[in-house]
Amino acid sequence: MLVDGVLMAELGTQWAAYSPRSGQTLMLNLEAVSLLEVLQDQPLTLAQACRVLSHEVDVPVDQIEASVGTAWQQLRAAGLLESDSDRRAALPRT
Amino acid sequence: MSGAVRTRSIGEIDPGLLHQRLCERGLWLDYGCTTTRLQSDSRALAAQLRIVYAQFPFVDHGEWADTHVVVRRQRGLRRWIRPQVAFTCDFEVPFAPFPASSPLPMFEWGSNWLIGHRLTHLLLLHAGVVERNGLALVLPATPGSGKSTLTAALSLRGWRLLSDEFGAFCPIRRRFIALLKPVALKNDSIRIIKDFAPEAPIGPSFPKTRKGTVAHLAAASSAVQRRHEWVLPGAVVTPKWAPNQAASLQRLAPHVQFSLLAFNAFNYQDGGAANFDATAHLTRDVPGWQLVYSDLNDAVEQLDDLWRGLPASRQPRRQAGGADP
Repeated sequence: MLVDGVLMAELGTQWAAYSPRSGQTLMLNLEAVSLLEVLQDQPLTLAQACRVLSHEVDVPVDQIEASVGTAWQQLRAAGLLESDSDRRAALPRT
Repeated sequence: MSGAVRTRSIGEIDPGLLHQRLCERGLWLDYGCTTTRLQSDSRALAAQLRIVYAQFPFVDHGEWADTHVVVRRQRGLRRWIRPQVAFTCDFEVPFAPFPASSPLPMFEWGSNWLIGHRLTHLLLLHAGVVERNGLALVLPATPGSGKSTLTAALSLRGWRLLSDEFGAFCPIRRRFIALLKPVALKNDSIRIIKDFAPEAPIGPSFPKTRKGTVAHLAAASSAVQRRHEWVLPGAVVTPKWAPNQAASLQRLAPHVQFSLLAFNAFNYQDGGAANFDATAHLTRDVPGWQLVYSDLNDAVEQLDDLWRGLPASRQPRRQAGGADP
């Protein structure tokens, strides 16, 4: 799912995104943008997001996974995406 | 009889008095968006400041300064053998000393470094900024691209100088403000500007600095008087000097413009989401070009022409192509 507070800006053919989690700004490629757009609407796993994208562009799921899998990892490393366990770890302990 | 007392400018002050004040309480230099208090026992610095800060008001008792700087001659044997000056801020000496004959480059370089590190409420783009007709022309570029030379040339042809180094942009007001210091000309650009405007008020040349020979162009009186005025952004133009090229302007791709502004800025990372938003605004709503030129006169003419047509062409990109995300 998308990290709370992520900002995105469309810049012509490319996008920029800012993560409040990492403080990083990234210029995004097409795969990364399409993933973030899907995840803006609802929290999904990589497999679920790939199924949505596969349905949108009528391309087999395994091909979608092959092209967006790396982007998913990079977005997660940059603090733009997180899993449930990431979110729990980021919460302050009470 | 009553009336406002005009503050004398630094250029009008007797050199001996200026030196005395620098030795005592110090001199408050108000650049527009920030003020530095300078104390120094260097007579050479007093003489150099009188030239390159000639139009700034002489303030020897300010109420506030953001940074407090001391440029002092080294003691001991350094008084006689290869004398030096050292830059001190908050009782720390962050840099190696300079020759005693070059206190001005030491002060300028050190105070720029402090401003770049401490002025976190503004987005500090690495850019020259000049103003005409109420709109700011922002000139971001990497070092060595002729940014300061072009900024200096424009300031000598009717554009108001805000800065040759720091594009100080407020993310909240969405306007620029001056960070007005003398323009640092380096190496060939000193001769180029002297040829371009023989009457230009340029201070002494300092050879063998870290950046080669450096000389400083004083800001004009009107730029000093208007240094607290906020200015809307008008256009972003990244200059590129190239030999034997007629001056030409080409539109910048938005993602290139964003990268130029954000990733060359002094403190982009410090401002978090506010600086991301500010940079996105300066990309989506402010048109950008690359200016390639060989001749300064051609370049200034191109930018004059651009500015004459700007009100028509300064349409936010999102109106022309696509909705906001």
